[in-house]
Amino acid sequence: MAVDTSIPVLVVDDYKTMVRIIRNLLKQLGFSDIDDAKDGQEALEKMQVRKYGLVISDWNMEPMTGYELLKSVRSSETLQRTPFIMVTAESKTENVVAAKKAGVNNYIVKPFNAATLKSKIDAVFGE
Amino acid sequence: MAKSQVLDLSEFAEKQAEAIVACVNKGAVSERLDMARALDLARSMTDSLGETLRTLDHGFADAVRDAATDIHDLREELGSLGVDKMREEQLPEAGQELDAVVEETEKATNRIMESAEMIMGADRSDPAAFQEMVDAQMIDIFEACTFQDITGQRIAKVVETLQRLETRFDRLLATLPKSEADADGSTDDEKARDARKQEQILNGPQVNGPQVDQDDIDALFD
Repeated sequence: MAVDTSIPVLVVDDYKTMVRIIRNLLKQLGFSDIDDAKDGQEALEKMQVRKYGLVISDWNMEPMTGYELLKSVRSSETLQRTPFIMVTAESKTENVVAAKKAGVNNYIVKPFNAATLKSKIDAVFGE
Repeated sequence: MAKSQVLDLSEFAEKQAEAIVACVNKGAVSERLDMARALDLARSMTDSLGETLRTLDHGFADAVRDAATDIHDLREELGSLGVDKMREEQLPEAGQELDAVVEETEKATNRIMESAEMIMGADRSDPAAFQEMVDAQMIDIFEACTFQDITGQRIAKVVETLQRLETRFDRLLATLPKSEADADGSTDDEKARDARKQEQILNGPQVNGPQVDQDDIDALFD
């Protein structure tokens, strides 16, 4: 079964350029309903208003980091099942282990390419 | 030295005062004798106090003189380091260079992405027109990539400033006592930021690329 590309995707990154890159890559993969937020706090606010089928988030943002966002999402009754991929330059083992323990579905280390993004989205949706 | 002298003085004065009070408080029979003894003690105390104060005065003056010499030496050392020039010119310039690098990199990235987006969204029904448009956008991408040469030069200038700063810090630290050189010196704000980084596991990009590569990460999720 192919990934449903009609799902709304939320891209969370404080760098507009990175948001633009991920948006374009997602468009290339067939996704069309793409929203973005500049940090974890804004993402959480948007998630409380709209149900997203996938969150792709950076780690290092303020005032709320992607790690805090992940833990907030996983501790929320209504949001805890939202697929969550971390895309970050944080590449230490302790980061990957902490994110996995917090319930991240997959982890992409920057810099990354379109094939990696596609394969992780496929993996999250059981392809 | 001066502190221990003050303590000795205080202890001595206390003992002498107690002795005088004890003499005065004795009965009237030996009043005259005891008053003479009290006067002797008071004189002895005054002499000792004067001697100790003279010693203390010399010690204090020596300490002040040493401190003044240290300050003078430190000022000379700071002067020779060119701290003013570094603070007023080189460090602000380094900050401006880095700001320019961020700005130029962002401009170039946006320019390249605009070209890529134009190619992605172009009408391909007319192959000749499409090819012409792609060729023009490719030239634009090559031109945008020239940012690398300029940003490379800017970063080299910043690295040179940091190296100079490091050399001066080393020289300055060499003039300080070890206990002062080893002091943390972080402000409360810096300590709070460090604590936040630790709590949120914010390590940032690693100098030699990712510490764990994507294949190792994937293995954790398989």
